[in-house]
Amino acid sequence: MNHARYTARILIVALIAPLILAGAALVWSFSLAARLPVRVVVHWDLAGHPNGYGSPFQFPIALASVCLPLIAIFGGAVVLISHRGPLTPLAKVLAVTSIWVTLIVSLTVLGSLLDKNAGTDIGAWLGLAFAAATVVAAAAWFVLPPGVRGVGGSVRPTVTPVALADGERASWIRTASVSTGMIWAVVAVCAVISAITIFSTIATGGRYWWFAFVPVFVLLVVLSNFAWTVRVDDRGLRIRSVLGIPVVHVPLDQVTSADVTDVQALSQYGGWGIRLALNGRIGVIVRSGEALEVHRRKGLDVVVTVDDASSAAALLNGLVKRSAS
Amino acid sequence: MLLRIDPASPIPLFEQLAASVRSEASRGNLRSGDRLPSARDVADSLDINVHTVLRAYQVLRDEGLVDLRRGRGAVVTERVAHYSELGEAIPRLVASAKEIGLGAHTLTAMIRQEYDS
Repeated sequence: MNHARYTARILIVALIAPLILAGAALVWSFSLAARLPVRVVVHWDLAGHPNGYGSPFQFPIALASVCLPLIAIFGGAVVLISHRGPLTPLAKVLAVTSIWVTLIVSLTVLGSLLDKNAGTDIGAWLGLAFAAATVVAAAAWFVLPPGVRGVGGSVRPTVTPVALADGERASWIRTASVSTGMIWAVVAVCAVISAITIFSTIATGGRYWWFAFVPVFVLLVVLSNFAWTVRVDDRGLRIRSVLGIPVVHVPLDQVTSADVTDVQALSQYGGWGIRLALNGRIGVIVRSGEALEVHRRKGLDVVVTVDDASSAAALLNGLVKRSAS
Repeated sequence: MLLRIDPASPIPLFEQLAASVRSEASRGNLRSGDRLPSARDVADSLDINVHTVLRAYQVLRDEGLVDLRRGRGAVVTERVAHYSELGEAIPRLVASAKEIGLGAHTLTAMIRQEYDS
């Protein structure tokens, strides 16, 4: 497949097709809504019985506010990922999810407007929307170029082990943390969310006060993923958040070998922090670039982005070699 | 940072630890402003007493390679640049000693003599 067709396929599936579908659904739903009375059923309970009424224009507005940002974020991410490197399975999942959700929302909205009883039986439409969306999403998966697995494998030859004498003790310790800019960005986002929560708490007369803890919790979880102490010694590899948890530990007897690798944070791991990559690795990712990769006898390999990873790999290989002899 | 000690060696552990940090500095693995791992982490990892590690860090502070600050731990100073300069000279020195068949002992004796003169 030549490059122009390759990029065109990604662009069509991830952005153009969902945008055309959402756009068509939007235009159609607006014209349908204009023909309906000013008050229609807009909400149903879990059994499918109507329990809310409002303007029919709520449907196209909901459609636009769900689908357009979703397509922009997912589709944008996919195009960006495929632009920077090979198309990963993760990018394909994002692209297909975007078209799947767009179709479900569009068909549900259109269905409820088209139904001549003005949406008294939404259940059948939901089923139809789900089935149609799944079929189209599956087709989209095969229209996309095949995903490239295993990128970021061992790009450099196995690192020479450090020669260790019997009884000698050795330890390699280093901190890996995200850039200061990113930390401030997260703190800023949490501050904005906190302000909104505090405002809503006051506005609702304090009825949902416990919501105020949500941004604090989010901040703690995010920050616990931002700085790690990476340690290699005769107990193996330990990657511990500077906040104490979480901890990733690979005992020495489980290690087969260690390597240095190059990591693309976004396209391979979908972001930062503790990650499960689709290529079957646990990643502790704080940036793109140099990383230590530890292969295990059983279970998933572990990748951690840390400077001077070659020293860590050399020591780990040395320790494995000594314990085997 | 790679730290190596040999409990069987007659050299005290804190000296060995300090030498390990120095060797990292002379190999250019440390930069000014880098923080050494916390004494507790090192002690736990090497299974030695935390005071041994602190003593090693104090030795390095006394020679000016690190600053010890409360709450910030041991921070590498600008003097680290000189260590890496020295680190380039030492392998050359050792190589020429080996070329004429001189052992580590003899070379150290020669260096000591140079200091005293």
